[in-house]
Amino acid sequence: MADLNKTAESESPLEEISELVEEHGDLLYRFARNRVNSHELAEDLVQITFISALKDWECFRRESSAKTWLVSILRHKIIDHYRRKKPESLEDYPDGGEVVTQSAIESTEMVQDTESIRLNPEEILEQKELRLTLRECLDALPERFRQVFVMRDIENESTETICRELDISASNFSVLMFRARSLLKDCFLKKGFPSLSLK
Amino acid sequence: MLTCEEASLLLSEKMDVSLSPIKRLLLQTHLLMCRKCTAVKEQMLALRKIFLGLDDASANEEIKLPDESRERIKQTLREQ
Repeated sequence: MADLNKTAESESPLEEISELVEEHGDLLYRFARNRVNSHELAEDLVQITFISALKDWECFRRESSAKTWLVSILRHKIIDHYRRKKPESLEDYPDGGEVVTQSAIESTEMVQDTESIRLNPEEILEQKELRLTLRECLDALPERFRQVFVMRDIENESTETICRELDISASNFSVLMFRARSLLKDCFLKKGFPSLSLK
Repeated sequence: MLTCEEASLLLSEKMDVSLSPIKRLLLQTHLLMCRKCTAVKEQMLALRKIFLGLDDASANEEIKLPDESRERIKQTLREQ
């Protein structure tokens, strides 16, 4: 165990970081994988995180846990990744939102025509197969939509923070969120969840 | 009078920011008359609740850093 609160004297930074790869690799990978669309990119981001941690090892004050420190580094790496991709914009989506909106409305019609089992959010999260479907839908989102959606609806970040960190306008944010939610809802319904309910 | 498309956009917006009084009124009026958009509202709120729970580590235990990735990362660290 790479306990950073211990009075470390024997292990080199490389050894300690290698232990952290064992200890927190899964968690960091999960964190990254929730936020980017490919395994390769998630692995790269986790790798860059550990390289940064190794370089900054002497600066780490050990006031927070290693997990918190590493997640914080990874989070910044992910934001950097999306900032670098900024040239991708709404104009890259030629439907202008029309297709998404229409499909969302059609999905709703489908729901109303279907008498089916109604699953509530807790039941969905408890079932592995359903969680995998959620992930497939998340992976199908264009990256820009995904990043905004994840920050807002998974991390529960404020709108102001997201706009500032990703350098986008509030109106751009609203359109991205609407399209992301519509695409996810559509995907979710098409993949066999014919009814969503809060009840 | 809002179209369903405009109402859906406002439903999403309302989940992130406080709507102006006029937008709120327009949306409420539309929802009173439109079952489709009332269903959209319920679905959007349900999805939000689902995804807010998705980041919980216990809900994602099936996702692991593959062993070969772990080894690649450690090898890269050794080369630094």
